[in-house]
Amino acid sequence: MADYADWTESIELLGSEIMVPFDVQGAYIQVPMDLQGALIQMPVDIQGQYITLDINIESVAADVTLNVNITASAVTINMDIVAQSVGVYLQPEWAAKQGQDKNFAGYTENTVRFGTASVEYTVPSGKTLYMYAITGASNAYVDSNSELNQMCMVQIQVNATPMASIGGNGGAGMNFSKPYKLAAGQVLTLICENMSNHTCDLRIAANGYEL
Amino acid sequence: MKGISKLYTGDFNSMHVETLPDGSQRITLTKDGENKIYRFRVKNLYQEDEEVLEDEVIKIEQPKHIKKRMKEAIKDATTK
Repeated sequence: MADYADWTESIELLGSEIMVPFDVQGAYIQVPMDLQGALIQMPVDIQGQYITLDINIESVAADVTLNVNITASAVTINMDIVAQSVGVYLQPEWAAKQGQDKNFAGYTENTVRFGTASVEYTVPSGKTLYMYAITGASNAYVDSNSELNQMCMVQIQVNATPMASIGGNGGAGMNFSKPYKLAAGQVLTLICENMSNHTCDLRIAANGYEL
Repeated sequence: MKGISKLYTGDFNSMHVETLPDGSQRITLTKDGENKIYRFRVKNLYQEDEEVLEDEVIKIEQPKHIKKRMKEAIKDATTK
């Protein structure tokens, strides 16, 4: 950067009621703000009895992307929210709140060894499915087998490819460390397979959300 | 909308599948905020020869005696 003289331009407004409306309307609007310097500080200090800071970004015709990129040797992000009621949701919780959750369950009675309870679902056009948990259970169909081991295997498949499997006696379940993502047209298959040497009732259930 | 259409459009929150001895599946779909259950029985789901054998929409209503008790409970809570 070339060496220029120092420059200070202060805008100081004093008054009991001050309004500074900034209204820009046009077919194409650009408000670039390019700050370059050895030390940049942009404090925003808002204090008042009633404060509303709305940021509304709406695009009817296309997607909206809001990127926040921070590059530094050390980054500290402090969020200090003091209020009587604050809700911060993880995506599965938020999806359930918004009615976008997807819960699947299956049941098969009196299933022979290697028989299954299964659920199959094809993700509709324009949707993406995320699956984050699965559980399964097995119990003897006949009372006299109730005290035996009720071995079963629980599995989630995407397009017939096993993504996660878990075995157990009487049941099994797991939360995935990351959700499995299924694009439109991909097939979700959930199975609970009877691994016992007697007939069992099988149950399978899994949770996700679809956006 | 029929149950099978709900399934293909993903217009539901919960799906329960019961596999029956004849190989068909009884599928129950529910959606948040809708007081309806979409229940249908289908053979060869997602196959070319898929066939819906039964299809029904069940309206969910809170039993009258529960409604009455809740109303009474609210009345009790507000008068004390």
